[in-house]
Amino acid sequence: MAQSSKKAVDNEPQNWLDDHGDYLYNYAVSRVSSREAAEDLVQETLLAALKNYSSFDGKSNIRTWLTGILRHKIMDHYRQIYKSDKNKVDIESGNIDDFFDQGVNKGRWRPERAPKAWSEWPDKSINQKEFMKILGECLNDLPERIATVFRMSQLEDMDTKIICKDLKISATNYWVIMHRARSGLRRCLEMLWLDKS
Amino acid sequence: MFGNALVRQIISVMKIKMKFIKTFTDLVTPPCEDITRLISKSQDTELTLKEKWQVRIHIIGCKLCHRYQEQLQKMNSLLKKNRKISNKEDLEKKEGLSPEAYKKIKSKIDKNIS
Repeated sequence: MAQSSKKAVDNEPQNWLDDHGDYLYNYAVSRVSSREAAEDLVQETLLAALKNYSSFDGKSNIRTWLTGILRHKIMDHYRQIYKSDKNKVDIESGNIDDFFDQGVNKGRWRPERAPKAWSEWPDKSINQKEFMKILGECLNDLPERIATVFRMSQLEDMDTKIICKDLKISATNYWVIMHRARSGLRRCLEMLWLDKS
Repeated sequence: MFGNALVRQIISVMKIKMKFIKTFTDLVTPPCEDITRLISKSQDTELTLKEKWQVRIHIIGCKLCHRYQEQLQKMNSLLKKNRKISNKEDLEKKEGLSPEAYKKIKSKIDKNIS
């Protein structure tokens, strides 16, 4: 079968799922908000790879090539979430966070929602993996659009300008979204973490 | 006796001072809601000089916003650290696809290969 020596036997498409399926899934699941979404992304990736196999030059590792396709799929997924009408309400609906008093003390922290002291909280002692796990849980609790922008910016380390262009949002809007994300995450981390200690 | 009274005196003066500072910073800077927005924004872009000073003065008198700032910085540095750690090994170790998902995808691919 393999006329081109570059495309070794273990690169054969029928082996992709067995050899790289779990890896691709794990890569995807840490970047999206549900298992189902991650599974769909793996499937789309493998089907796209199948279609475009002829363009694989054999220079890079097949796994690297597949991961590259997956990354594109994840970005498309982010864009779709952001565009989707059902998620739109997230950002435009008034003060979803409710951290601040709206009455006499307008704009001040509401005592029960104010930041607590993180006395035991985490410097060198914190386990990085555990932090990322909790952060992941907290991200899934955020409104999806907000979580998506945060993922692109803080987990994928994408440039702000590119994100704004990609999602067609203004810089001001971007700051508002990031602020919402950080406030929500800070609160969630605090609750989950303080619960544990 | 005398020592105790003096200490109490000093503390009460300090309390008054703290209250004064708090009221002062409250009066001259925007409320916490706006300050937290600026604190977050400072992680995304450079603040204007005016904004920088608003934050600086506000957090002198506001423990809560000061906390907010410190905690966002902590979150940020933990995230940065995490980006540096290569997690390739991790991706190998985790559980992977569920048997059901594997089957579903497998049949889709087989259809497309033949």
